[in-house]
Amino acid sequence: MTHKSILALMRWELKEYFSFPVFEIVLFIAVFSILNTSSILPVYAERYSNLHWGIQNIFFYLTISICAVFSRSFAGAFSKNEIKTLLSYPIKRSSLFFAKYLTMFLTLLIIYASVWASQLYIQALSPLEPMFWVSLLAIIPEILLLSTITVAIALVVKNEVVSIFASVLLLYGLANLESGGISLLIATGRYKALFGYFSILTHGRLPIGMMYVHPPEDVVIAFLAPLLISIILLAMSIAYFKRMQID
Amino acid sequence: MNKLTRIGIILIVIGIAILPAMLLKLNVPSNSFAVGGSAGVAPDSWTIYPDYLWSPQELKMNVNANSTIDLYILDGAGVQAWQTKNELKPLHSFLNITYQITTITIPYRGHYGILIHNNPASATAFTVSMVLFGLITDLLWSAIGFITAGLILIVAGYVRGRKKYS
Repeated sequence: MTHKSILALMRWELKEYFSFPVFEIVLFIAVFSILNTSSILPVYAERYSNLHWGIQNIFFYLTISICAVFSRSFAGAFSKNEIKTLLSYPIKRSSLFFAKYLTMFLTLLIIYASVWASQLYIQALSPLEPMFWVSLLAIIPEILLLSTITVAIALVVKNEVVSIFASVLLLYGLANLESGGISLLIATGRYKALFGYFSILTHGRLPIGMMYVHPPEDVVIAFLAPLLISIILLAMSIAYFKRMQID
Repeated sequence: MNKLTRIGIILIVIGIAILPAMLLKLNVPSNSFAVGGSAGVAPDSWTIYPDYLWSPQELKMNVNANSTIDLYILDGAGVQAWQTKNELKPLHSFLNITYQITTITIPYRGHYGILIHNNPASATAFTVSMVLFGLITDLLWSAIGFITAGLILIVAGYVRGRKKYS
């Protein structure tokens, strides 16, 4: 019954929050940002290196998309009194939260992963190229982290516009903490740590344009830290959502 | 809005998003190399640069040698044939050139190489500079394909909607 109600809520959420033209705008941004940053290095043997060039631009557009979409779904539902209406049905608060979160997360993940797959053609890579799969895997924890931070802000401020601005400013500020792009505090640094490490494992060398190789413990942190922070934030957000006063 | 129309709009959006991404990459930085230095490459020798990833655009080449050379553009299969069997299968050949500016069309995205054979009589030094420019034809055609498919679906959706209504 719970699974069915979550699926029904997810279908409703998809129709409500990815209706025309929201889905189209998110898709446009994904296609434009990913195609625009590809094929910088015209060296055939090192073409996988193009998967790390310009990644900060993709994270920039991804941050804006995530902040807009998640803020609209969570904070927007408070502004429009939609949460109150939905909770008047026999639905658990946790089911509503999961349905909202999973719909947004999976839709964005599918859009970005599908568009990212175009890199196989653009870079003339084999579908078995391990660095393609590493790059895809490195993006997933970042989407998770950005979305959980945005949801936490949206639940606290309960206002769509304020939530979008607050999360964009916070996340964009965090992304600019360090300019060299190697600190694990920023998404680009974590991505490059994973990319560089696995490049040495699979190709025996760092990709072109990368000077610094992170030690294995940094790589573990780069992958696990966003996951752990996301899980903690998600648990806190659910707990807050279940207990919060909705009027 | 019916499903066909929505899918049509989504395809058009993909097509439109490809266009600006393509237009921003009309010129990519040139790849230049100089070979031989002041001493030059030994007479009657072959030099291969086997490692280019090119998109289907126009390639402008500026070749400058101090005696005649033969220059061949090879695709991936041509590079492999030369490296494994010493078999010459060029896409384009420029024979007996010393100074030449030329533009060729790269037919498809992928692996290319440049093979240079210098004058049998004397040592040669040469420089080759290249720039890819112009419309990236595979992206352009895929954008046109997406937009056309989208328009067809929108028209089909409109016709189906009118039939249902009537």
